[in-house]
Amino acid sequence: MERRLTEERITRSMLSWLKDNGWEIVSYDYPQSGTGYSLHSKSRSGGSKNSGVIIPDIVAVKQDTAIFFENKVDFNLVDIEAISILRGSRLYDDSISTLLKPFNEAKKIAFGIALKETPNNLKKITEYQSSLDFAFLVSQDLAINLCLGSI
Amino acid sequence: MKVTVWHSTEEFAEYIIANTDLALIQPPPTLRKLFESDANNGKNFHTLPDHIKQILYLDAPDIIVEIDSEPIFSIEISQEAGTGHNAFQRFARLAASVENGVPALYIYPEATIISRKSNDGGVDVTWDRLNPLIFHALDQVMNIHNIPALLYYFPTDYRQYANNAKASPNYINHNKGIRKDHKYPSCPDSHDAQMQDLFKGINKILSEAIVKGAVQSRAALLPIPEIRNRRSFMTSEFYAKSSGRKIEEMSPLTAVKTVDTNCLLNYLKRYEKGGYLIGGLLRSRPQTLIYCVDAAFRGDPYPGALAAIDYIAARKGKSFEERDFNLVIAWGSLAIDAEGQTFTLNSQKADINDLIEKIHHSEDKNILSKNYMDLKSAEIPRYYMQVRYGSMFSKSKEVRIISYFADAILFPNGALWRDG
Repeated sequence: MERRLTEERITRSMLSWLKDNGWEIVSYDYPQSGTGYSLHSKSRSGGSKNSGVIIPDIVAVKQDTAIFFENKVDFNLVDIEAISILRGSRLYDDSISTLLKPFNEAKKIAFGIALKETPNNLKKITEYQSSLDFAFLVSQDLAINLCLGSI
Repeated sequence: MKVTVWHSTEEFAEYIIANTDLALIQPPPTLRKLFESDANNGKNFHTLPDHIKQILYLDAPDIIVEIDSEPIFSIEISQEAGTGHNAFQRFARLAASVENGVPALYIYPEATIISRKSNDGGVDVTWDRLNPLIFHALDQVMNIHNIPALLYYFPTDYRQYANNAKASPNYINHNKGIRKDHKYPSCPDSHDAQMQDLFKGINKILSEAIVKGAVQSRAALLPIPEIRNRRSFMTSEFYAKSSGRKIEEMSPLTAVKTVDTNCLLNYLKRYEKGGYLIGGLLRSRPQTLIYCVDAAFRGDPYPGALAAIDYIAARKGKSFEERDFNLVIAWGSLAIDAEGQTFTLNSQKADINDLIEKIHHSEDKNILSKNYMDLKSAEIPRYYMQVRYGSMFSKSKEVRIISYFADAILFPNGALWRDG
């Protein structure tokens, strides 16, 4: 029986691909992995400890660039919203700086997504391309395809 | 022989297989995803076999390994700090496994690094250490069920950097002092002695199950050296880390009050209306343990701590009915009125309606009220599961666990209790 392409498999495939291409993994997370790094918002006063927390699915660095991923099997607008907040507001800058502190050279940051390779996901990536620096599609047999931007 | 590894994450399942004799089994083990409950995965939970659903009744472990549809062990893994009540957060799922006759293996860090803001505006970086009462609680589970419930330390830098957490190489890289595996980076370092002991324990449980049969081997596992030695290690860790404290001086027992059951019955008299009298179960036990939680009604870590209190202080037999004491959870601040043989319960944070709302929310997940003609084809097996089990698997985790372990749940403005 063919294994279902899950968010875990997409993330783990991307991690292997990034390592093979010279990226250093800073943190990663997929459902129930218990891993991941929580980025806290400056504006969480009054909320619970976890309010406003964003946990990127992958953070990796190479030379002067850091990349942040949100991964899903199917396109989800929530991920685009999270990326827009990370990209457009200054609310998470302190938390991102702390995360990247051991990697002094990372001056540029790019934000993107990895999804299962389907016609609908490709269509959505095209539709929201202005919100993304890059996008990957992962096929059922775990082939990786950079379909938007460059890293 | 067909081996199935049910898992929360594929990576952890692959790690366990690669590091144990499961890798030698032919045909290779099948990997299958564990869906936690009907409450959080209504689309898939009903597809699990019934014997797996029973283990998941209270809470889901990270791995269940079975041979020919007979579970042979479960594994729970945590990377979080296990101080105070938090040490017992996952206890109910360990109990559920053992209560179903399935050995439970628990991987938990001895300590993890936590950064806290200090009074001078800086940051204090210290190790948060595991509450040693967890060892005693697991030992009580083994005493009662005669089935292994063993803890192995998630590898950390604690022993090398106990007095200088900041210098831990796994603090600098944001890993809170815990050591991960090179090949399976969300998993514990497989070269560590604790993990090597875990793999030996798994191999022994596996070989016994293959030779003697899963069911027959279970009751004879505790005397086996690999299991017995781990139990001795746990006992020595308990005594070494308790530093002479009595168990009553350790969380969560510090939040437990022991009262004459008459106090509880007098408190509950307010609900004896219309000729109704509280039933025989509560009256049958002269004393009652009340776990007092002065917090808003919520889940973790309290349901797991309640389960641990049951095993440490109330249980005398395999069923939760076999207790020396009633076990009650009270949400609020409880003051004994010795003269009036009762108590008062006050809270600004908790309300019976917080619990009732959770129960209503669970009921929203039930599809039993749908007309047959309105059911989609894919819903019919789920509907049929709910016909058999009602809301057993669709209640939220905290409602399931608390209503399983507590003989009564008290709020300042309402209560639920068992009559039998």
